[in-house]
Amino acid sequence: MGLTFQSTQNNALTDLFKVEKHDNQYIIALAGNPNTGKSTVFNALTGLRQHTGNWPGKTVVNASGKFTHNYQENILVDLPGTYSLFAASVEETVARDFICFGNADAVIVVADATCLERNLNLLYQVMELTNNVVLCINLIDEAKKKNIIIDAKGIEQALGIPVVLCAARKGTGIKELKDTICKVANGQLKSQPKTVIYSDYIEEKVNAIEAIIRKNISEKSKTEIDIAEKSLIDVNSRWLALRILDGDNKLVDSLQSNLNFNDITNKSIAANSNFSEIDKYIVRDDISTEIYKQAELIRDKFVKADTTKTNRDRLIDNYITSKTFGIPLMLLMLGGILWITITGANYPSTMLAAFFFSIEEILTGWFISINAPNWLHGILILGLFRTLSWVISVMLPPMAIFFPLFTILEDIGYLPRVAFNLDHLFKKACAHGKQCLTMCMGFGCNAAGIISCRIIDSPRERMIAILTNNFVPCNGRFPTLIAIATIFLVAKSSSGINILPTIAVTGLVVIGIGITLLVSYGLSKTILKGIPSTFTLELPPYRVPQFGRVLYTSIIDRTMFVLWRAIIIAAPAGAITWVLANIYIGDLSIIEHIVAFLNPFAQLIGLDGYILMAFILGLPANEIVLPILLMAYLSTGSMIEFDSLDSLKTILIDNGWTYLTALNMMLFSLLHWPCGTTLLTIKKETGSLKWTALSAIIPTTIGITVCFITTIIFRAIGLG
Amino acid sequence: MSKLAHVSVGNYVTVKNLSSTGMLRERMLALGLTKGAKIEVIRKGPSGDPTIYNIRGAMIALREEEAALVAVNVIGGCTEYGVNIPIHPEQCLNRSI
Repeated sequence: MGLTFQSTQNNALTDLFKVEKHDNQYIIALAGNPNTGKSTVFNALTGLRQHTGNWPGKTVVNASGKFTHNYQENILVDLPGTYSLFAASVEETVARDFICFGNADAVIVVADATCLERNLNLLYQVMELTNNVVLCINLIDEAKKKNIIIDAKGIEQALGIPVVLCAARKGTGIKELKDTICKVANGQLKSQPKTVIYSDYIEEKVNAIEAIIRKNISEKSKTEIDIAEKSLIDVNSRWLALRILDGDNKLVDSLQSNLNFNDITNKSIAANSNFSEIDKYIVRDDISTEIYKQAELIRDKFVKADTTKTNRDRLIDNYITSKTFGIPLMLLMLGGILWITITGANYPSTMLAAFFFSIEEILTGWFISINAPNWLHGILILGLFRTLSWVISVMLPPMAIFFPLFTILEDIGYLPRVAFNLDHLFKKACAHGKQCLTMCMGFGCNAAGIISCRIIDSPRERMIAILTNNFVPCNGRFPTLIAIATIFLVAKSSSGINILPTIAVTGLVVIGIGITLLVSYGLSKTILKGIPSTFTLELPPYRVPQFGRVLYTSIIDRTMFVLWRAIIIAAPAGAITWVLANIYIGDLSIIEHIVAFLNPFAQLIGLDGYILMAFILGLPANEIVLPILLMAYLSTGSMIEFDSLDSLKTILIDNGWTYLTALNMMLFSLLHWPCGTTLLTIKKETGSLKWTALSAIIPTTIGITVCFITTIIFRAIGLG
Repeated sequence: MSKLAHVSVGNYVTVKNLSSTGMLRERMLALGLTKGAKIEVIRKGPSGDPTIYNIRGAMIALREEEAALVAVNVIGGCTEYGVNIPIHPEQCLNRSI
């Protein structure tokens, strides 16, 4: 199967091509450069809490939301961030098509006040498409801090469209934006955008082609015009003429066929635009240059920046991206976050476990008092409730600490710096520099990481990123790693700070990154051959995170969401495991049969049958691997009060665990098939069973090999 | 005339032309690498690649391969950090190149 654009193209981006609307509703599109705070504006307008992050390409899935203002109902569509509408990437195509052919009544272009010149490029392009544009200059608070002063009234006059200054994070200017956009959408406010006038030779041709287009449209009787055509006719004919001049042939063909031009029209258009490929480049260059000249003019006239002020971002970057400190600082940051998580999670974990155990005792007493049958108590309490208790007490504390910390890093703008620092490694692996960003998302959830691979334009590199995302331990696996590392690496006698577990987990993450690079390299040299595609990465300004919002998104959106998913999978899994452990066939329970079957192979790779079974049963969600494992151990062994990590250690050691088992359990957790949700996402994103299967086979093979090797080494030196 | 990839850190250049094609060319134009645009070479990554450029007030990282496709004129250098955006190379012209 070839890796074609179609096979990797995602449909989700085009899902919202047409938005359903009622008669009295207005559709408003939100466009803008990546990382201008578009999502923040979206949230401020709709009152929704879509997650935002300080890196370009954060919004890969489109969102739409409603807001009512002055009794006017509006549907707001958040388009992917784009630098231009000349459609170089999937996102740009979506944004362009929605603005061109979607049924938006008005467009808000969100611009970054600290980088207005670049943002105006997109605005000028949008103004060529529609008159109903509002420029929202966002992040005005940040601009103020940087001593940048913007003359909004002046810009308004120079552009001929309404301009609103905003600081969406603080809600500044949002009411004014609502007022303005509603009036523009319902036609109360009409504007005449002052678009760019190009060089004479372009204008001459544009006028000629525009005349032909207008003639063709007016010649058609109204019955001939279908709906798709109508929206195309609404498209500014000047814009069409420009694209016929400078667009690639594919775009021009599709535009012309959509418009149903007759032969005469097509011929006369061709006569006026018989440019060679090189000429088209020149036209496109000139058009871009003219637009930017205009943007420069506006910046020079209406933006006053204090150039003498020391640039804070560059001072920070002196360290964060420095040759000497860049990578060590990154590892230190990762280690620091993990250390806080591990240390901080220990106590609440114990508390929660003790709490749930006391509840279990009460429930058990209650079951006895009503003379409930043993099997019912077994399924509900020993199976379902106990697994749930484990999932919550082992998972919740690390997640509730890790997610906010990670979100803060994301909001500050650190992630693109990581991508920048590590780019040379990814380049050597023939992979895309932005793969690093998708891996960062994988820390939260691999399924989310795989969706975020959409920010990689090249299909080949996107596939590599998808296939290797699983090597980043997601938060479903972090608690397992943390629990095992804590149990086996904290000496009982030592009190206080113990950094061994932190080093172990950090080491595992580094191993994961190393394997990602190796596998990426391997794929690039075999089934996904090719040279690295182009790389342009914008490093956003550092921003002070909004701690309140960070807590909200990371606790409610992420932690609770992930925990809830774990709970609904863990509950039935716990019950089923108990049933399997208590139904006997011959002398052995079903679980023991499975374990006996898996054990010989599991022993080869330094695990045991129970562990392997737990990983297999844990396919729906990695979160339940450890609880299932404990269930299985407990259901067949003696009952132990599991109210602390120490008791957990006793359970494991009673079942024959050694340092090798612990190490391989962690390695196998890092290197095995992706969870069910992730596999489904891969299937959806790649549209191919083959690639999905490969995404499971590659890590599993590596995991088995690595564990096999460590086992041999350990046994050779007599430690296994 | 030289290639953007060969300009050392601290220098200012203006864009002469692009030899990139297809999607990369579109992306470069969209980012503002148009004829006459002033670019500042800000810093190199931990292994010397990629390099961060100040392009129209935004910090953009380009790999060496991409930067080699941009022909530029070096107009001056300013090796000290702390020059704020937007670029005002005039301030630095009297310093060492």
